[in-house]
Amino acid sequence: MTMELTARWTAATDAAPSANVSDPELVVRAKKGDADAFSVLVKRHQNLVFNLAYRFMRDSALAEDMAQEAFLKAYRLLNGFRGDCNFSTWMYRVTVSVCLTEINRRKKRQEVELQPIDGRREPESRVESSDVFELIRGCVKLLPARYASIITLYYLKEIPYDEIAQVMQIPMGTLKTWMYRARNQLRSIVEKEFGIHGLL
Amino acid sequence: MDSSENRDLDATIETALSTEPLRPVSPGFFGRVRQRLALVALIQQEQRRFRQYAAAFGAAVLAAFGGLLLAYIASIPSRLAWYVPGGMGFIDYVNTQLLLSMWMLVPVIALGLAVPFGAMIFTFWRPTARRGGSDEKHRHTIFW
Repeated sequence: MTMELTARWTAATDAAPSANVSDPELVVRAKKGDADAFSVLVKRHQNLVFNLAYRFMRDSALAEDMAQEAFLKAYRLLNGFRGDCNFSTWMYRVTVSVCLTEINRRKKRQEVELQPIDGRREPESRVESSDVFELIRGCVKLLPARYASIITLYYLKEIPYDEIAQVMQIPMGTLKTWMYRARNQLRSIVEKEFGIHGLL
Repeated sequence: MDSSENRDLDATIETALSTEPLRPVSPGFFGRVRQRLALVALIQQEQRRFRQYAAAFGAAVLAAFGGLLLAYIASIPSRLAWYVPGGMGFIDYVNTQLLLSMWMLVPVIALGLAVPFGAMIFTFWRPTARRGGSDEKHRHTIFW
């Protein structure tokens, strides 16, 4: 029975529920234990979840870890999803929570990234470090958690304000205030970072 | 910075954030997630099975203990021993030993009931070692 359960998950699911099946229906099936239904949900949302995680972590490997953790957490908490919002909205909420938890954990442990002794970097990061736009995008990580979350969600796929408010579980008025403050604070951080890198 | 420079910087920030392209997911991502989900499903199934066995064992211990207690209260051993030569003397011996050993008997019975029921309760509450909280906590307070 154990082998059968594992095989059910790892077998090819090309014959799984098709793209025509809606998210709410897939969630209902997944709650009843349909592994294929949850696999389709993963496949459908993996791109946005990964990109959302990347915009928090700014590292592909970490972003993939966080995206995996987000899907696992969503699977464990699926019975608590009441369907009062879209599955994608709920998935964003779970992903943001997972990423922020990891960021806080790293801050508490005061983890630092390993750098080569002679200052050489990986080709990807060498390009990123000299790219002004990438520098600005990296500054979002320096914002307080709630401001970083709303900025990331807004620019991920131009997610509308009402959906962001649902993800963050805050009123629309509060969201707009936070967005205004987030932009001001981001501008200050960017000015400071530009000064440090001698780009002003 | 004056207002025109602020506006330029705002425009640069806006452009930087809105033009960030979506990155492709690595090809093996879906497979890796499915493997981990298979493991989670397996863990959940085994926990359910363990709870069922623990409940059954706890119920059996409770039933056995209850049955013995009822038999003792109803003096069934005494009634049966009446017909056996030396039986009443043996029953008196057993009763005396039970009274003398009560200080040991009660913890043993309590342990016999606590272990299976405690194990069942523990499998409902799974503290996550890394984050120091349960999934139940995360369900209700996802952000702060």
